[in-house]
Amino acid sequence: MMFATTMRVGPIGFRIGSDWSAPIAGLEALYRDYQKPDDGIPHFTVRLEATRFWRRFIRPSVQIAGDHTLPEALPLPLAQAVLAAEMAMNLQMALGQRHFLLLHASSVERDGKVIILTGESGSGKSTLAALLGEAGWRLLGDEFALIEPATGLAWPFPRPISLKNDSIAVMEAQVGAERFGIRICGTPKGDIRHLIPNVTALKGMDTPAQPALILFPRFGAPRAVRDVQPSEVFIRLTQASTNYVALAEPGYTALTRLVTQTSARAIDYPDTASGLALVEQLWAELA
Amino acid sequence: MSERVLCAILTDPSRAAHLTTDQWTSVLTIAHAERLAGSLAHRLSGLVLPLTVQSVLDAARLNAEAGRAHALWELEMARRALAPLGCPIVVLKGSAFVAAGLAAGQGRLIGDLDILVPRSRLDDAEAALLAAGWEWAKPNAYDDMYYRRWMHELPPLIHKTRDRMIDVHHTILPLTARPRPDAEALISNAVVLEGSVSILSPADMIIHAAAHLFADGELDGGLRNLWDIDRLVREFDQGNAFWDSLNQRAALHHLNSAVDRALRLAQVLYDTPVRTRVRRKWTDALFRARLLARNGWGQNTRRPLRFAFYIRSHLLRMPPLLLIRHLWIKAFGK
Amino acid sequence: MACVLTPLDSLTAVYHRRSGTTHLLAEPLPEILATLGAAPAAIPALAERLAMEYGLAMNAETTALLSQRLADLEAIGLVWPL
Repeated sequence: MMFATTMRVGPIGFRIGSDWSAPIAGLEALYRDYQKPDDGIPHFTVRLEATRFWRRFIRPSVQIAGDHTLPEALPLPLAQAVLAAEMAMNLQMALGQRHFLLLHASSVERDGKVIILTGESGSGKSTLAALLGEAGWRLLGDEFALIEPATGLAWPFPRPISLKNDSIAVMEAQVGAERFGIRICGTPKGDIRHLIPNVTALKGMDTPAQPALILFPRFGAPRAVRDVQPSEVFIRLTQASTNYVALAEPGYTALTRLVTQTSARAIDYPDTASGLALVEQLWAELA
Repeated sequence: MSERVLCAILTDPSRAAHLTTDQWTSVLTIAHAERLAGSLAHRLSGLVLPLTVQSVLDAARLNAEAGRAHALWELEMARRALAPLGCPIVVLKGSAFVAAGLAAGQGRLIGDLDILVPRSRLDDAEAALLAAGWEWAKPNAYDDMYYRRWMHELPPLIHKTRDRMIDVHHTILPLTARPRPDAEALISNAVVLEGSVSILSPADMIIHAAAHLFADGELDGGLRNLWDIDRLVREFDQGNAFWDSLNQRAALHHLNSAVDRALRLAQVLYDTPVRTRVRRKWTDALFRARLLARNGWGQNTRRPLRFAFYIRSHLLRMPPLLLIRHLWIKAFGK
Repeated sequence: MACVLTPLDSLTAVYHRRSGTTHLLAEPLPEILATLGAAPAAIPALAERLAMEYGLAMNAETTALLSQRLADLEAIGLVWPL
């Protein structure tokens, strides 16, 4: 492959190859403060390829490939190539990760304890995590929570946060321009802009912590808090995990330990300010 | 280049001690692309490796183990569903390797469950599986007719809740293919594993692997198939009796040519000890080149060669007019 | 043990090792699995053990229910008649 870059995110090293230089330049900007893979050997290889030779130049579109792929993955326009790279990295984790139980969740840490925020797209978990990350919390990640089966600890995986539509403006108001990637318009999910995690998150990339609270946020509803029973948490987390089945018994052990030892609440909130307040309140109640 | 490094360390794990970081990166990528990562993990276990390599191979090993458990469970569920038939079920390919605890099964990634039943019991088998929760994977009348008339198996079935596929064969090559293996002989020579579940005899197992590798024509996954054959030969080679049996059975199934070529290629790639006379063919070099057509990024290279094999694979399966139409649609259509 | 049982609340999580499947079961299914896990049993003996260990009543009705529950467990592959 003509153009390439590597980076380490938490415990995982990636290698990205591309038929075009622009996506690599975009990735190198987002990952400029990250380390390189340990040993100089990546855990996963990703490729951004032209579907046919002439597609490098004429209506260029990016086909994702790599160690782990989905055959049905559709190509993306070249303008969205950085997005394609992020999706490809997600795929490597979703399909190939066997050392950690993966939950589709954001997570933040304070005083050695972790809040895991899990829910579907649009639940607001990424925005809440991003804001908490700027308000005294350490961001562990916004896409995947990594739970180590042997210890139950949550390990950091702080990739650039994928902000969508209204969330972009919310964070632009809080954080300096140098922490953002370019704005990508016209994606299936609307506009997307990446936010580079801050120094605290990047410096803490190798420090795990103990899960203490699981939250199921729902944005845009009147303020409400509800306890969630372990069996319901269990079901919802298996649905939020891409590799629970593949992990076999260690996955079961990790998940049952997590749901029996960690409080869980469903929270509804009308706007981000009340969302943040609710999180801080529940956190204080835990202590 | 890197593919040869992969073959070398699979054959002789001690050579892994001399790999550079760049070579490791390429080897791991190619191992994934060729579905050999689990096998590599097994071969290198116990060696001192760079931490990241160990981590990647551990993941591959865990993946293979989980796959093995799923494959054996799928076999058990199929056995339960087909038990009322009272006929032997011969399990094939990867599932057979792990069910029988063969070296070829160690670290192997397994896809669908493949079984062989007598042709006369095919309808009963179909009915039993449908009643036990399997359904057709591709509900399309034309495909169905094509399958039933020409193929060596039922159309693929998938289980409703477990979401896993089963392929029920009544012989090992399509009915239109030129070599006509003797299906009844495969079944009558099968080795009982437990109860109604059997596996092919050692010679037939190797012959099947060779037929499968070349009859498909495209040679996709060829490195993995030849690794299977290498492991099988090393495990089953007990002396002259084995090689005589292999030649005799290959002749019975009209597959001497495929078996010979498989043995020659396995020898070139993995130093397989072949103790029988096999005549070389000038086309061996082309096959070898096709098998090693992948770069350090895991990409397929040598397009014209691959296209030539693609055409060859269809020539083996389709009459020329149909083939032309099919290729036209593939190249320019949709 | 064929299954790993983890009480969560009114439901018990069950991991079936051989199939790699996870189930959430309500009483008395986990109790049946635990008892059979110790040793296979015919229905009368199973009913007796369940009565002793878990205080489940023993009569014609519960035995009939027990047969039904075993059929449920068989359908999901967790038990198999010998």
